[in-house]
Amino acid sequence: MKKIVKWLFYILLFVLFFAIFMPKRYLYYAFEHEIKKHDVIISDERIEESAFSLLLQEGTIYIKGAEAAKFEKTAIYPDILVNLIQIEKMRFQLLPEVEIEKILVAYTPLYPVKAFIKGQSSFGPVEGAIDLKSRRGFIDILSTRPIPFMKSIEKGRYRYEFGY
Amino acid sequence: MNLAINQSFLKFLFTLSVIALLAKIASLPLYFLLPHFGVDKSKEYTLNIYHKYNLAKAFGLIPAKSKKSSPKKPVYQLTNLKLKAIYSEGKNGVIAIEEKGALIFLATGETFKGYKLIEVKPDRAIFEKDGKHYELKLSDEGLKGKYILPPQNQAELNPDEVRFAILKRDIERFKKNFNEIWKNISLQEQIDPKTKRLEGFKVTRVNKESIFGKIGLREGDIIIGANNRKFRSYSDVLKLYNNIDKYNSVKITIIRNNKKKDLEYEIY
Repeated sequence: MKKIVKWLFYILLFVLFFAIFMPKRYLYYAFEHEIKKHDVIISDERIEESAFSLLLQEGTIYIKGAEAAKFEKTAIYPDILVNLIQIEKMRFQLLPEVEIEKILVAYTPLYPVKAFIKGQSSFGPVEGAIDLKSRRGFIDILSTRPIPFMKSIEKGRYRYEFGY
Repeated sequence: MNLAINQSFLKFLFTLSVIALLAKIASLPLYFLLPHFGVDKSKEYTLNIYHKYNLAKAFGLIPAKSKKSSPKKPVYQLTNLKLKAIYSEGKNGVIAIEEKGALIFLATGETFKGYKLIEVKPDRAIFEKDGKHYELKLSDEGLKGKYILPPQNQAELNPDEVRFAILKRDIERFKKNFNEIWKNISLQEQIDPKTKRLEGFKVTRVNKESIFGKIGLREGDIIIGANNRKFRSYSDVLKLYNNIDKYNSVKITIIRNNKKKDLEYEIY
């Protein structure tokens, strides 16, 4: 038993060191190349790499050549076990009234079919999920006011569905 | 005792170093396999070489055209024109004139058959030709300062294809103050329940006094596309929105009372 705990500890240490040493900037570049295939470009962002995360500041997201959204800060925490993306102060060109104050996208290879979304917007709390198998996702905003471009699925819950 | 602690501590440090080294070695292939540059949206430059260098002209293959002063022909009488609509702000504006059943839009500074539109007043347009001023009054007194044609006139022209005039500066204003759009209009996306694809945007609220009301949008209309292309995603809408100031005209296709209809806008 003691030996198993010891080896688990070593594996955890390995994961930790791997997260520190992995070229986060290059991983992000690879991600950029991948999303470009779907006509999505993240541009003009300032990239800062730290031991555990990659920080993107003041970026603009373009979809099919058109400006879709701007964000102030995005922190990416890549890891073997849990990957987190935390976006702060995001504004959409088409939905200017909706400002994402903070949103967290979490993905773990231990549950590889879904990524989870949770956060806070100017309208209220945000919840959502991306089904990586069917390549579809949704974002729900819990709001007492109607939100343009979002359909109401139940009282106080507005949904935006997307596919990729 | 101390020696034993030191020894176990050193062993731990050694193990730690080995793990760190292994992690570093494991991450090394990523440095070589992953791209070393990202993707940025570059500015789109176009170079039209033909316009820059006319090779035929440069080698003297095309003789230079000598400017001939052609005598000006008195071709048009202002009384033959009908002023159908006016949009004015100060001295500038846009007018719609009717000639042989067709509508022609003119902005101040533009010339029509030699007549330069120099001023738009709430009830008349002032043209200039050969140093003389010509006045064209609204054909219907009731049309004063209207932005669009009255529905009966629209129907006379073509009930399925209605043309409106939009000023470029209005578009620029909305591009700068995006929130103003949502104060005057509410849109709700329409998703096909079977295919789960975007079908269009339903106008759920429109302020009749706003530009959206005046350009012909009504509650219940479903905007399904623009410029002969259907909206398939938000990015199609975004693309139109981002490039709207580059167009001289935009055609919006709507469904009104289960009937397809085109609304055409000339942008001045």
